[in-house]
Amino acid sequence: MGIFAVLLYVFNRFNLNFPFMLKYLPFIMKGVGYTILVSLLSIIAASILALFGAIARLSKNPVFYGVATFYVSLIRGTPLIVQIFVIYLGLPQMGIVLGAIPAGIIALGVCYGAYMTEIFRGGIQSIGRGQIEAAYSLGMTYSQMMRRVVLPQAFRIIIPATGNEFIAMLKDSSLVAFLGVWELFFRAQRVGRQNFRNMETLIIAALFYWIVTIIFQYFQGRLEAHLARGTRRITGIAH
Amino acid sequence: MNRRGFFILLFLAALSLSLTLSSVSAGVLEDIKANGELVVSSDANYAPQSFLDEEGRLVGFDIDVATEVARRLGVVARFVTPDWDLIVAGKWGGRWDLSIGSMTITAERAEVVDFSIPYYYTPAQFAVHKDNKTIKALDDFSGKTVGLGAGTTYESYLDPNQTLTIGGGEKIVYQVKGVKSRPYSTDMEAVQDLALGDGVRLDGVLTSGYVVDEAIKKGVPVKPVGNPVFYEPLAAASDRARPGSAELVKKISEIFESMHKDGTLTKFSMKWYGMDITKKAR
Repeated sequence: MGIFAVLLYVFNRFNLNFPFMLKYLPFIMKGVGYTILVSLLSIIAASILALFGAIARLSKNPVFYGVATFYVSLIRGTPLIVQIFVIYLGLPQMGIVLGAIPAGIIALGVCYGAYMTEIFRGGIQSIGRGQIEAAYSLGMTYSQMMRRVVLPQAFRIIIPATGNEFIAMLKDSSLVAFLGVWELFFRAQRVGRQNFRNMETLIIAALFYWIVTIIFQYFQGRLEAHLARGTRRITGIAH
Repeated sequence: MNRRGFFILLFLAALSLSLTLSSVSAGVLEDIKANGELVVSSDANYAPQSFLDEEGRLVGFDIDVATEVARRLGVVARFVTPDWDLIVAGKWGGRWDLSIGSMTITAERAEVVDFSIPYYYTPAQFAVHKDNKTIKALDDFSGKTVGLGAGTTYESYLDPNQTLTIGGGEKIVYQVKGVKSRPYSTDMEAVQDLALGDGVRLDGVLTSGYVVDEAIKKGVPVKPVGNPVFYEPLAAASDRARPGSAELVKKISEIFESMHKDGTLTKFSMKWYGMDITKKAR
């Protein structure tokens, strides 16, 4: 509560024009849809990439391992905004012309896929060797072992970290504003600039990012509790 | 799994490729006619040329001009709003057909885009904070820090390593020397930074005279200094890399010609600026 009072005091000192903020709040709010859409599609793309990336990083096949390791190194070693512009400006030179939204989703997906490859790899590696051997000794193939034994357990470890990535992605999705996607940040900037009141509109956008993050955190907490059911019961018996 | 995974990836890659490869055709004008729409890029940061009204609709002088141009082409206008840097960089990859976004004709830009004839003119204006007492004339700017939009003609003007050649190559008389320029993503951030106070971050800005007027109108504490340093002819632009670009701007020039003659441009100018700025200044 005290922190909230401090925040309100600071806002007060900004000398904000509240009628102006109220007037443009609905317009900026309409950007939430694109922000969530871009973030959701990007996290799906990133998850798919990360799954293959992690399996390839753990593969004994030198080609898969090499490609995945190179991908993680290159993407983690370059700024996201550079990747967005490379995909938006660079690909057309090769004859692949992407619109602003697909280019943004691919860039975010590729970037977060690299970070999440490492999360997924860690999750898969945390599953004991004995489990894998047990699965094989039951006659499962590699694919069956992954799908039925390793991944379901690995997800429990992967989900919290992935949720964290998604929260980061929600905010990094603002970078697609540079390509002209009318999401939260784009709308806030346009309205702010033309009225010489950037502060007001950026605060509105910040508020909405925060609200979306809080809502997402709630659902993530529920999902984690759901996935943790099994372990909690077992530890309960063990002690 | 490995092999199957690889094939799934390959399939996804092929799918995304097939979805995105744009159809190559005879020329941009034919594409516009075939699609029934003219895709126009506009930088929606500047009132009254291109901005968002209270309902969030794109409006302004540029928007009216583009809508009328499309109408005279027999198609409808659709607007996209990429960052200014992306518009002036050229190589649009066919994502939009034409820029009607108050772009100044310069020799440097003409290397990547084709220009139509100008549809209006804007003065380049220095401004300072209202409280400033020391900068009264243009040469008082020497050694001062001036904010401006990145990738604008104003940035080229103040950059000693660049020569700004505008329009038909009219000579630009340099009335200021040794100015430190500080680029912002748009002119508007520069104006807002100047508004923080005299010399707080900036000593002045260099932007369009209409941006200064608009700022004063909206209560921003700035004031113009001196006469405009140069006048810019603003035109529609088309991506040179696109087949048929030259034909498109020729057609657009013809349309502008008729819009100048029949008073349509003057009408739009009166509506948005309250004065006729479609005639060559000076």
